[in-house]
Formats: sequence, C-alpha cells, structure tokens
Amino acid sequence: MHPLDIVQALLYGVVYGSIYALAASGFALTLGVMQIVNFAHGHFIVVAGFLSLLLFRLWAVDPFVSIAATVPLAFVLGAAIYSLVLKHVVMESHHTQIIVTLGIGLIIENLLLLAFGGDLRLASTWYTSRTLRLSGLALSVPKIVAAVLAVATVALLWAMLRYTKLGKAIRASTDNWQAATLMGIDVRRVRLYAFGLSAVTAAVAGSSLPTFYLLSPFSGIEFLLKAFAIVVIGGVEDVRGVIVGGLLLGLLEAAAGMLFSAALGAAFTFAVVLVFLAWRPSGLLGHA
Amino acid sequence: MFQVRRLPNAGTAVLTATLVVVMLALPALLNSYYLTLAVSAGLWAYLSLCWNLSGGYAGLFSFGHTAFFAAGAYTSTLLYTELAVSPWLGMFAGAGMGALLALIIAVLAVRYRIRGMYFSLATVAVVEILRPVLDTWSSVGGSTGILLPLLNSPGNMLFTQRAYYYYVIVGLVAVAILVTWMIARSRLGYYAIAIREDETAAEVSGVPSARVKRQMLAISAALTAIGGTFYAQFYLFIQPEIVLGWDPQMQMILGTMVGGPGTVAGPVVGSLAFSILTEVLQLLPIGWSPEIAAIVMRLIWGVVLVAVMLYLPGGLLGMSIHARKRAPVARA
Repeated sequence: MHPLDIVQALLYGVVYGSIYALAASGFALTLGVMQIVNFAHGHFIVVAGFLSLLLFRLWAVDPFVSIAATVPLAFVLGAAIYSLVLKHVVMESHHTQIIVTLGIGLIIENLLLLAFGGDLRLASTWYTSRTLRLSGLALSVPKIVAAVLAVATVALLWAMLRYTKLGKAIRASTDNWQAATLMGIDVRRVRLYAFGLSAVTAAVAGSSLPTFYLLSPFSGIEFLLKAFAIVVIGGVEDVRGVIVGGLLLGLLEAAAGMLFSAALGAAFTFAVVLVFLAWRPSGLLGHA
Repeated sequence: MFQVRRLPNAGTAVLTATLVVVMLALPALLNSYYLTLAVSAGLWAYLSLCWNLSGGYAGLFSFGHTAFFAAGAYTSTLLYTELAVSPWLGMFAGAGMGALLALIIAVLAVRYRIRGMYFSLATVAVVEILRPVLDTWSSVGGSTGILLPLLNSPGNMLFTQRAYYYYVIVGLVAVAILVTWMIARSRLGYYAIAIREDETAAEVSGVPSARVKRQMLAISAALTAIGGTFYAQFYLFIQPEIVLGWDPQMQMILGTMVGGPGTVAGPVVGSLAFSILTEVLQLLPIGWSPEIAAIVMRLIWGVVLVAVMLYLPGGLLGMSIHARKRAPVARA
C-alpha cells in the first residue's frame, strides 16, 4: 500500500473520529451528569439528520446552515422528552432506563419510517463531491467541514461546562447532587438543561451528516453503539475523554479497514471495546 | 415467616386442563395462515422465556442472546447439511455450543467485574463481532446464508404440514415454562434473584454469585440455542443478518419486560399480547399495506414499552403478583 494512502486513511480516521466524539458527547453528558443511559441518543442524531434533509429538499437549505433550526428544536424536544418521560426514571436502575429509552428509540425510528420510508438518503449539495487537494491527498470538503464543526462544538461544550455558571452547576450536580441542592442549585432544572444540551450536541452531529453520510431511519442504533464504545474507551467523567475515545475509535476503524475488510474492521473495533471493558472499565481518562 | 406452598386448587386444575385441550386442538381449527402465526408467536414466547431466565431472574441484562440463537441455528443446520446429522440430535449439539459460549461470557464477565449496562454492552459487542465474521465466512454460507430443503422428513424435524411445527414449539414452550418454574422454586432461583436485587449484599450473605451467574446464563443460552434450531427448521433459511439481527433480540426483551420479568408466565403473556396486537392491527379495515401496518405496530410497541416501564414497572403480571403479596399484610 502506498504510504500516501495510509496517511489519507488515517486522516479520515481523525475526521470520523471527531464526528464520533461529538456524537458521543451528549451520551456521555447525560450518563455522567444524571446517570441516565440514553439508548435513544443515536436516534436523536438521526432525527436531526432527517430534519436537515427535509429542509434541504423543501427549501434547499444547506444542511450545515439548517443547524440554526435543528439546534433550538432539539433543545425543546430533548427537554420535552426529559420532563415527560425520563424525569420519572432518573432514580431507577440502568436496566429500566435502557428499556424506556429503547422504547423512545423505537417510537422515533418508526415515526421516521412513516414519514420518510426506509431508504438511505443523502443531501447532494454543490460541494458534496468536491475534494480539497493537498500535496497528493484528496479530502472531501463536507467531511472536513463536519469535522471542524464537531471539534468546535465539543470544545464549546467543554468551555461551557468549565467556565459558565450553568456548566459549573452541571458539574456540581454530577459530583454530589445533595450538596449542590444545599448550595442553592436547582438540580432538577440543571438536569433538564443538561438533557437539552445533550440533544443539542446530537442535533449538530446529525445535521452535519447528510451531506456525506447515507442516513436511514435505522442508523440510530449504529450511532448509539459508537457512542457507547467511545464512552467505554474514553470514560464519562470529562469531555476530554470523549475526544480521546472518539479519535481512537476513528483511527481504529481506519486502521482495521486497511488491514482487514470494512466488515471485519467493525468486528475488530468491538473486540477492542471488549478489551477496554475488561482492562479499563472506566475509560482511559477515568479514575481506575 | 415461612410461606405454605399451596397445592393447585380445583379451579387452577380445570383451567390448565382446558388450556391444554385447546392448545392441542388448535391446529384442527386454524387454517395454514393462522397456524404459521401461531408457530411464530410460540417461538417468540419461547425465546422470551429463555431470555427471562437471564435478564428477568438473574439480572444479567443480555443484549447478546442472538449469539446463542445463532449458535443453535448454525450448529444444527451445518451438522444436517454437511454431515446429515438429524437436527433432533443437532439441536443438543447447538445447545451445547450456546451453553459453552455463555460460559465463556459469564466467566469473563465475573473475572473482569463487567456488570449492569456494561454487561449489556459486552454482549452486544459479542454479536457485533460474530455477525461480520459469519458474514465473511464463505464455508458456512457467508452473507447469503444457508437454505434447508423443503421436504417432509419427520426424522430430520422437517415437515410439510405446519401442525407438526406447532406441536414442537408448544412442547418447547412447555419445557421452558417447566424449567423456569423449577428454577424459580429452587435454591438456584433464589440465589439468582438475590444477585439481581443486590449483588454485593448477596455475596456478603454467602451466595456463590459467580457460579449462579454461570449456571443461569448457560441454561438460558442452551434453551435459546434450541430455539435457533427450531427457527432454522421452520423458516428453512438462516442468514447472519437475520439470526444475529437486532429484531429477535428486541422481541425477547420486549415480551419479557412487558409481560413481567422474573415471573414464570410473564414472558408468555407479554409476547402473546404483542403477537395478538400485531395481528389485530393488520386486520383493521383501515387499508394499511402490510409494510405500513408493521411500522405502526412497532411504533405501538415503543409506546407500550415506555408506558409499561413508567406505570407498571413489574410488567403486566408483576403488578398482579405485587397486589397479591401485599394483601395479607393489609389484613393482618
């Protein structure tokens, strides 16, 4: 294999890794902050993708521009799902949460099927097949844009959690919600906002997909498994863990795709996840 | 306080006898379309019963039971197509393969303390590894799968009349109910429930949790694998995309959780409720195409699942059992 091909494949590994990191950040946020396992998180991503596809088809709105619409919508929908359903299972076992969110995922998936059918869909914009040529490398423009956007969003999330009042309240509620309550933090509102935020990250990820990624209503489970794998690799305690996990997963997939076929590459990735589950269950950045 | 084990009273006996007669007479009353439905409903009930032993009783919330299902389907089918071994025997070889796989998973999960949702993820990972491997493994059919011949050969569990499949699956459901009933009343069952409720507390109280987990997962897996053999013999076609798909796994969990995890009859009630609901939906004179009806049905599954978990966390049967348990306390 030509060395340039290897560089190219690894670069795409980084590109996909960044997007995976964004996809996992919301999943990690709800898991870390509220101890809620959201098995519908992948479906949240897919819903945003289909909304962007719809806006593109109806009014030719560029999917990346449509983020301005999907983000507020995602916040409202996320908050609604939280207050209607998940609020009631915050204190329940993870098993209960998994089943409830599987149910929500089933509802979303089949609503999308009713509305759009089961075909794979892509938004063919003028730049969908454009590539950026860089000393022998050819990089797809929409993938680069999506990766940059993903990195920026995850960085923004990290800064928000670290420096803003809401972010500090979220972190305080993670560490010790009783103490946070005593300090005058409205933990219930913080949880609502955190869940809304998680849906927002899903919306950014979902809306940046349709220009280069074939989406179907069934894609939800695929993103959920990736998010889960990243959380296992990187840990949930810090947004930085998601970045490490996402990049590692992206690079692993790229490397495995080169060494084996794409299909066996997926098997290899899950084998690595199993190794991490056994070796470092709280992730690379988590406390041992 | 010790509970006096009640003997089945006359009412229960009459009810059971009626049920058995109706079940046995059913093929004579149904046309082939409804008989096929009855067989698939039976298989769903059977698989839910199997999953219930692991997810409902032992708290081993596996998302990888399709791996055991596939182990059974592939073992017996390959033994039959390659070596002409009757699936009646191959089914036990498949059960052995399923149990072996389960033992490996259980031993590793105990050794590395993979519990709760991480156990769920680990079992998903096993399926996600197996599927591409089987997909690319051309000598076991690869992604195109394996076809079984359509012929009448009772010695090889192949029938041209649906009624025979019906009796086989009814027998399997009866066995699964019996196994569940026996485990629920045994030391193993009580240990399993103790682990499910609080693993650390159970260990401190002297429950050999590693052994109990191994046994429960292995029994559940062996039975699930037999379901895989039945699937292959009934549908005459297996393929990694289908037997290792997300759908059979969801159905096992759905039937159990809605009916009542950790109860003997819950998985049967839950899965039958879904089967009947599905059929009623397709009969409704709304003019839905079968595809749309299937989507609407799955939409309703989702709603039912959320509603049951929020309002009847113990499932349909869990509720009535709790109500009965509380009654004597209120009277005392």
